[in-house]
Amino acid sequence: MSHPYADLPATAFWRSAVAGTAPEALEGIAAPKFRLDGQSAIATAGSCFAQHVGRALRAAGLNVLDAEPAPPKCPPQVARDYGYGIYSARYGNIYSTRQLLQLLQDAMGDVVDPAAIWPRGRRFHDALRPTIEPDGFASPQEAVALRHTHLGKLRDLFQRATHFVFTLGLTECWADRESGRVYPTCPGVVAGAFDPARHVFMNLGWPEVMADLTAVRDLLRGLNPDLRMILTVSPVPLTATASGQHVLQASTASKAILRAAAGAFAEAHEDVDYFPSYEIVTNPAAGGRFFAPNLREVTAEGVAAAMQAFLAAHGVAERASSAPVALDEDVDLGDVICEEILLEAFRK
Amino acid sequence: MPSNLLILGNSHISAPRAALVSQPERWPGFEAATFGMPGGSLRHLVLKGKVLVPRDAQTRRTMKFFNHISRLPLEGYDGFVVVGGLAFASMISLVQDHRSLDFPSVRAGAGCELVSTALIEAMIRQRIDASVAMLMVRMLHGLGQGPVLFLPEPLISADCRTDPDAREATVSIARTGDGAYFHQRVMRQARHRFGRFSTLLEQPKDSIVDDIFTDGTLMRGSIRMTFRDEVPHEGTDYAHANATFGAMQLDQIVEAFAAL
Repeated sequence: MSHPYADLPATAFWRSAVAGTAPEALEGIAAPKFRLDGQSAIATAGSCFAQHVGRALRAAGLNVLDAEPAPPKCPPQVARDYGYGIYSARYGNIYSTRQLLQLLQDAMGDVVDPAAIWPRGRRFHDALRPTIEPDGFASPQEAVALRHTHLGKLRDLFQRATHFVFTLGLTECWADRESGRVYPTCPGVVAGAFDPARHVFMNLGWPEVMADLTAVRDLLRGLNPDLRMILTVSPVPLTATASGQHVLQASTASKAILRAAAGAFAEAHEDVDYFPSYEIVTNPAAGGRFFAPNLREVTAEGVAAAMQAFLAAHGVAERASSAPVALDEDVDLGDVICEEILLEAFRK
Repeated sequence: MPSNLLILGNSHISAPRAALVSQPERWPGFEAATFGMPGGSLRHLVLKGKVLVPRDAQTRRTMKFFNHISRLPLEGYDGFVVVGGLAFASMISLVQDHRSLDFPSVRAGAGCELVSTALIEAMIRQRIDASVAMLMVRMLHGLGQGPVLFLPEPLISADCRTDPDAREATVSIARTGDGAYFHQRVMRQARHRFGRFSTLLEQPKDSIVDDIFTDGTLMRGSIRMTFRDEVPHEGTDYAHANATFGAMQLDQIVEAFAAL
């Protein structure tokens, strides 16, 4: 008797592909539509997990662009504290598709919203990248001037890039009710003040994420028609939810929306690919060992499993080194910069 | 005034040492032992008990070459002076292309790679804290044996402005007014950072030209940090001061100890 499952490869069956396979050595988990190679000029952005992606690509010898590098003799730790060298420009973590879209819109029009400069004491934070200056800017003028500089670098970045790797992190965000501008952190957490009359909670649904991704792609292709996108979903759960749901339910819903949208968007476009970081790290075969004891942060082993699979799929791991993916020697996993964790720190 | 004083530092120790040798009568009753090594080697000295010893064989050779000793007992000294080791001139590279809004050239509309004032402050702070001068000052302060003075190396010689091959970075940043401004920022932080462990004695104002250079007459004729003969620096050395400047430093030292 013949049926459609009879001739499927081992990767199609849970028992052989998952239950019976070491979670750090999944085979056939990714089949890129297009490959990264030595000629690729890669831009990276996204939620906290995206920091691991950028590091792994750099460690593998790929050309990860840095459009906004620190001063040449800046001590590495100072550079890192000030948000340099973490992503391809100094935008900090970009958690939601809406945040990415608005950043690109701002970059295209060189738009700086003065309402997005938040005070904290006598210092001023760029609300759209609140932790890139640990102590804030000296004045609103300085924050605005450096934002213009940043936006200019972004235009240059996406004109130069051949590939853009974006890690989708959250669907929940806080927005200015009037302007619709979303923030990476809830007002009042890093700086500014929360005003219930002005700030509104948003939880992006699948259609909104899809619409954002479409608009992002349109903007990027307008700037650089040959740019290709690689989407992945952060396996890091929500630190906290403002949805009213249990955080486990909220986190699962958020990741499900992002995963479904990223997959569908990649299927719809030849120039967009999806890589399953989320699946690799949350694989039940790992028995939870890809998560730290707080069940939120991804362990070095988990990061390596995901990134090894990514690099192998692109034929990069073999070319660069047969050794497991190495993280930056100067940076351990605890160094990942994640504003979201502040929600936990400031919990009453 | 400490009765048993040690002056130690990098190559910039030659200036006060030469002054002390050439005109001891200028400071009656003032005596001091001196100890000098290249800054990179000073970093490789470690404190064992109250004795400063080289960490490795290379440092031991260097210590012996410059001082004729391979260990420096610190017990018994009741005052210390650290000379040089801040390396202001090398900090200029931090703002070669990157400046913040408050720099005079930026205020005047000149282009640059714009960074925040806080980043500039953080870079300066890190450089100061990582300097060999800070290493020495903190170590000597930690001994608790007596006051510690710190004298940064002099600003580079104004003579370099007529040498197109020398110190282009400093000359260029000086032209815009940014050099003097940056120096003030560095010294403001240096006063704060060093002030926790020592008394910082800044370069005498009457030795400074155009806010960022040392008067060439105080630099020409400087000698190398050798223990044996007086070997002059080559004419294109714009970093080291001569015995006249060294005498000004000793005046500062004597005055500072008297005031403590």
